[in-house]
Amino acid sequence: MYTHNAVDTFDMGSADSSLSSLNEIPMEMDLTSAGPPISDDETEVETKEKKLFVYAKRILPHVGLVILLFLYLIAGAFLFRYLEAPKELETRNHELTTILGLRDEFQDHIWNITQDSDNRISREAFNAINQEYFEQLVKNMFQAYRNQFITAKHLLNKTREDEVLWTFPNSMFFAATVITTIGYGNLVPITVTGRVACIIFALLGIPLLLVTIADIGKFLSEFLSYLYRSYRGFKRKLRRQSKKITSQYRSQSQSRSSSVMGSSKAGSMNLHDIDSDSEDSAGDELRIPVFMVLLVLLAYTAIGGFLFQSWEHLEYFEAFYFCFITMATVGFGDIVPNEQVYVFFTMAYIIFGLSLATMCIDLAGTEYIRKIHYLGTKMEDAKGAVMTGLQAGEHLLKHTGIEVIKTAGGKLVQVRGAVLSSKEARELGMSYLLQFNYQHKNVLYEPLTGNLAKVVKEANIKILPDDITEKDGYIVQNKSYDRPVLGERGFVRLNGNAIKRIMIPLRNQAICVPYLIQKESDV
Amino acid sequence: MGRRHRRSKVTRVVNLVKKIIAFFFSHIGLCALVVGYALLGAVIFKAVEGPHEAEIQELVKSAREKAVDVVWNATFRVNRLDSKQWKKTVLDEVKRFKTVCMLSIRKGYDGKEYGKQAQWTFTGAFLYSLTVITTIGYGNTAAKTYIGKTLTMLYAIIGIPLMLLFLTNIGDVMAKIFRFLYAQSIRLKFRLILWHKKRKAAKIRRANSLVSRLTRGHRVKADSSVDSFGLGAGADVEDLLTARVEMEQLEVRETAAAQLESMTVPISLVVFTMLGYLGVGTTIFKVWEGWTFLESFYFCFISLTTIGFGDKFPSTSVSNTDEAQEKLVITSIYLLFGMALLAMCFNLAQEEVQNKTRWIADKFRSKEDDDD
Repeated sequence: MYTHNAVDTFDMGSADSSLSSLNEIPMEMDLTSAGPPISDDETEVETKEKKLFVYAKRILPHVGLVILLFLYLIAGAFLFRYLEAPKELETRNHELTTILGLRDEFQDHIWNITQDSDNRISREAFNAINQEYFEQLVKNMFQAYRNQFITAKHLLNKTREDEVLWTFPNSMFFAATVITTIGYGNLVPITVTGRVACIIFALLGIPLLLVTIADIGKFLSEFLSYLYRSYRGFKRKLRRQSKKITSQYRSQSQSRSSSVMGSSKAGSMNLHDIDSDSEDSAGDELRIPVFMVLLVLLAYTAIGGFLFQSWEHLEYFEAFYFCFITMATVGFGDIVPNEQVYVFFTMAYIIFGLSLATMCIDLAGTEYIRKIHYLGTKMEDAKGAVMTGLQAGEHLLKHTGIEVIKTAGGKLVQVRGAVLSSKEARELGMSYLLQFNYQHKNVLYEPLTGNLAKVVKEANIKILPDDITEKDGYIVQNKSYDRPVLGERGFVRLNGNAIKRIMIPLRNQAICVPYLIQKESDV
Repeated sequence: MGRRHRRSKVTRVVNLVKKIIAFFFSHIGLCALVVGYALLGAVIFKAVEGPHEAEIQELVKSAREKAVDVVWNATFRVNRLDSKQWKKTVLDEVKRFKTVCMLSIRKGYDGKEYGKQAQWTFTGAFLYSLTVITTIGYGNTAAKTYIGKTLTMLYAIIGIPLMLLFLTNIGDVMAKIFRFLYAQSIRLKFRLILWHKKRKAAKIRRANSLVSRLTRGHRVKADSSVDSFGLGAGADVEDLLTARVEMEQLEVRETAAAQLESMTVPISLVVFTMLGYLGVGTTIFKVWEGWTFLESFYFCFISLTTIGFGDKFPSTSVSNTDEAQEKLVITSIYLLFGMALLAMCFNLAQEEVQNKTRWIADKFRSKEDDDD
């Protein structure tokens, strides 16, 4: 395509230099946009049908699971309302009677003291009576408040008589807080059957919610990955378009200057191709950064703060604190939603938020936790493996005087001048034999394999000649190791101070090389 | 030489850092880290929330003293003969006191006397820290100040992942220990059965020798044809019995080997372990707090599932005595160990559940193929 454009531009430039710039630009745009629309339309129709099918197949199980959860919550709401509502009225009346009774008793007692004019009561005795009364009042008020059946409205006689706490929305909200293990504690079962029902309800409901949240979390994870990939694709396309426009302007200016610049235009086209190729390869990597994941969680909590600020008339900090404690499923219960109208929205917010948290853990958190744990485990495994290998190698070297060691990556290192005969090789049980004409040059400068490099780096094993010193056991260093030492008629001349690079064994003999890791004195 | 020396020093430092990281994320280091983090939280929350609690308690106390003064003045200094006026004054004062008291309760007052009892002791703050990072969150003790709430959020952000890591790690270790003990018990069981069968074999062998001796004695006396027939019959019976016993021993060994290879702990044993732990907790709290059996079990269940309503809470009549503090510490240990045990049970049951799920899925798929 680029070549075609270049040829056309070159011809027009050379033939008719008097053409105006306005005519040139629309023509080129037509040429560039001629091909793609047709193929795009065809592929678009096909992909649309396929997408619909994929979406339908993918969404149905999720919807079924959510519906099952919703039905379970409704059943729980009916159950708890049926069990707990009668007890609530009874308890509330009892508590109100107690508090009002305390007040009336106090009044009668003081009045009787006053009316008895014969005895003049002392200030200390009077204080003791009042202290006792107010302590009892405080204790009963706190107990009533703790049970959440009596609020300031009841104590100040500002509420209707038939108002109850275990309404259907509140019961459903209670059921939701049980299976999400948030457990505010603003509503709790008091009856024996209510508590047994709560235990059984939680035992069945918590696994159901965990499965549902994991499912929704995975769905959200895939959706977010899809969005991120689309965003990357769109960004790439935009960049390509801008680069194309820039190249067109550049081509025009070059064509105007002279016809000798054709080769440089070809070079610039090649550069554009290389850039687009590199962008394509870079775009394939899908790595959602941890920062973005945390930002999603923080944004969701902040949005929740705004919502509850407007719904429940809280300060923003209180609302944010409530959302955070809820998302973490801590659920203190010091701040709880009170408006009946918004209970269902609150439940939806909670369940969606927990799914979002599961998604974020799935994307970023689990990997980091596993990585840290893997790091701890890997240290032990690597050290153990290296120690075992090195000890085995040391043992063999000490007892058999083997000349050559083959490292874990397959590299050959000659230790001393000993050459094993076939008999000795058979006794040692080695199965690897060098061939007669085997030659190996510059062994130690070949690049190490990935696994070997990893082990060497972690365990501080010395392989390269510069790292090897005379203190390192059986390795002897010589400055002239690049120059091979050959005797007459191909025999290997033995030299205790040299590390040989070329080994030509005697006729009718073979050299046995054990598969061992070189000894490392520091480990 | 300088370059080699510097490289070795850097390498040594890197290795040291790696070893430290490995230790802290190993089992003992992780336990120490969790306990240390909870202790740190205890110190912080006590410092932040303790003064606020004292302030609220003093507010209620001063309100009460003021109410007493007003009632005294109304009774003995103002016109005391007018019953209606006096009653109105007393009622107004009681209502005002109720309002102040309710406001204080919302701010965190818990009905305890100033200077005598306090929620935010060190052990109370420790239990609060533990309920935050385990996400139980009773709510009986909750941060009330602005700084306290902010610190709670930051504390939870770091502490909850740390707790998850701790439970995952300890759950793995405890699952391995449990599996090892289970394998040992299976080996012991089959060794006992084997010993029993060997003793049975020895008994049979002794009976066989006795029979053969009798047969030999009888052969001396009787004629040859009858002797040969009887001896053959006896030999056949002996061989059959011996072979059968050896076959039984072999079957027992094979059964033991098969069960040891599978190494999956049955779900009933896992559930039984969990119920046992709940039973122990139920007994403890029943003795301590005077709750009924159902109430204690209810508290343990609600706590270990991290629901944490807070309607039942140990030491609700808490005081600063050593006994109450000791109870809080034991409660904390119970919760921490209980959650680790729960993680272990999940770990053990997970394989079994996955196998059953896979089996059901395969069955469903085969059924679907048949329908197609």
